[in-house]
Amino acid sequence: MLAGERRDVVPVGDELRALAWIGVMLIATGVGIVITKHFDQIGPLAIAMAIGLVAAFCYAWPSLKKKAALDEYVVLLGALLISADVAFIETQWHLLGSEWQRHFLLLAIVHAVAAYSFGSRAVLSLSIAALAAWMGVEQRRLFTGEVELATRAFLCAGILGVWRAANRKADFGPIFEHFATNIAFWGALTLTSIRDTRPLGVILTLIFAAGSLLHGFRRRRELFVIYAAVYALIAVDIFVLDRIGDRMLGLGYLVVSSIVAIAALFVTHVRFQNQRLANG
Amino acid sequence: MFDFKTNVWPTVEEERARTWRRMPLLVQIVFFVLTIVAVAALYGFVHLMKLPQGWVTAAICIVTAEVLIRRARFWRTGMESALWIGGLFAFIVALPSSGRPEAILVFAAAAAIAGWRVRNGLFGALAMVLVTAYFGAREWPWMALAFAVTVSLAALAALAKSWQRPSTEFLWQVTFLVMPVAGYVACVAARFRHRTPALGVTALFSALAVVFAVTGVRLRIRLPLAAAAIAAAIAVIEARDLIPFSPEVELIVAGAIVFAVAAGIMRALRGRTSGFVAGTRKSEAREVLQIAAMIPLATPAAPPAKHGPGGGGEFGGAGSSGQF
Repeated sequence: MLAGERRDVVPVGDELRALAWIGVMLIATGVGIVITKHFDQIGPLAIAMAIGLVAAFCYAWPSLKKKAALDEYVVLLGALLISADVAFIETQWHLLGSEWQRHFLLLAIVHAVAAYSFGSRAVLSLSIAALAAWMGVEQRRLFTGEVELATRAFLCAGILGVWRAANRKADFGPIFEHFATNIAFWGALTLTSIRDTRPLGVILTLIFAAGSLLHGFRRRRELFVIYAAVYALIAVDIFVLDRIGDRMLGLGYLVVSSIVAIAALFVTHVRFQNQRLANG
Repeated sequence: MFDFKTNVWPTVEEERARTWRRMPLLVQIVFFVLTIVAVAALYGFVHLMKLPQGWVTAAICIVTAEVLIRRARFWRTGMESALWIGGLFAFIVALPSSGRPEAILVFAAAAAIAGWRVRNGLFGALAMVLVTAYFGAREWPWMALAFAVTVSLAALAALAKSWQRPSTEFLWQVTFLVMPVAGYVACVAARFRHRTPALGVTALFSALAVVFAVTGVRLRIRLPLAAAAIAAAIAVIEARDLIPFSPEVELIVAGAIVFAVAAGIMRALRGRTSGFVAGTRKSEAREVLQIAAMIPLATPAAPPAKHGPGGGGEFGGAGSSGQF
């Protein structure tokens, strides 16, 4: 039997959305390079104005016509261009002077307004990322051992938690939860990576893991159960391997800890599935 | 006692009904990674015990995998797959190294054996990719490309049929999708040293894009359409020297075209209820993919480094970081 004979309905919406996302990312990357390479040829003012105009057009586009499925990606392009424009303007003219970091805060607010106006989860991600950047939480700084960085991560996660509680758009909730959970865990792991604060880091990771586990079970979101297991395993492994010292014993411990983690996650998953079945 | 004949693999009916123990995709990935960590640690542990680490690790892994499959009916949990491929790879890594490219073929054979045993399409495709990499390592770019394209076309022909086992269909799907990319990468890597002309590659991938697109539309299968997009992208990348624009303009134009194509197709499909439709489908990987798509957007940005007059420097902001 030919494949075509058994497929009456072939949904391709996901593929088309992925294609639109790729298109937006290509354009944004291209614009970033244009700014980088040609700002002295074209002139900073012309670049800033041109990008600003295109971004404004992207934001206006959905209201100029009937609603379309890919409008969200036009808005996303507008948001990405605004990010590039604001950063470019700040770098060129230093409008905020020594408080230049506040351009991240400005972006966080502008993107948040756009995200709520257009109902865009992707633009909300930009807003949260700008907020995290303003607070100095950078993923690549993990394990560099900065206590202050961990504190800022906790603060950022807390703000996202408050924002989540105040949020009234149902489909935005998971975005806050994922970001807040991961940022809080990164903070705890940063503490775990510092020798002096390691016990505190492990305890905090385990507390967050318990919270994440509980949240996962209550909301039936398995990803949070996985966050709990993986982050807790990393923290405990760092702690124990540091205490063991001996290589052979350490490797033996890694074998056992991985097996225990798999078994624990397996049992948790079965319980999770049973709960899901029981709740229909 | 195990019933060897009935518990080696799930039957066709069992596989279709998913009656054996399986996990959602994300859990599979986590279990796979954790198991690989355990296998690597076991390898190191056995080595430090001055035992033959290859033999011991392979034996422990494969026996454990077989017990999990035959006794506990583990199938698509991530563990049995990781144990099989991890055990075989550990065995190969422990062999004396000659540094010859033929070693890649040994890894390909291991991936094929593991793929056959646990009916994992990813391992089967990995075996094909490794054979392509072997041709690339031998600096036979056209051989690599010819092999990859031939396998991909064979997989496309296989996809046109209906398969009883979902695992068999998945093997063809993955092989079909990854082989053109593998062939291209192997070809580029080999050409890097020999600088062969790109026109032939452009023509080949343009032709493939057309073949894939036509097949996808005619047979109403999504995968060839995705493969057509990939082949077209490769053709454009290869033809970049022939396009009289700077890379940044090419990116902007390509992005605009890609977006316009997506919007145009979406518009054309609006209101359709049969054949290709604009709707989405439920998938266990959907949430993971949605989050993955946000990661590039959420890359924290670097602060402006210089603030002197006319300074320039790093700038950034939530998805738009850069340097100048």
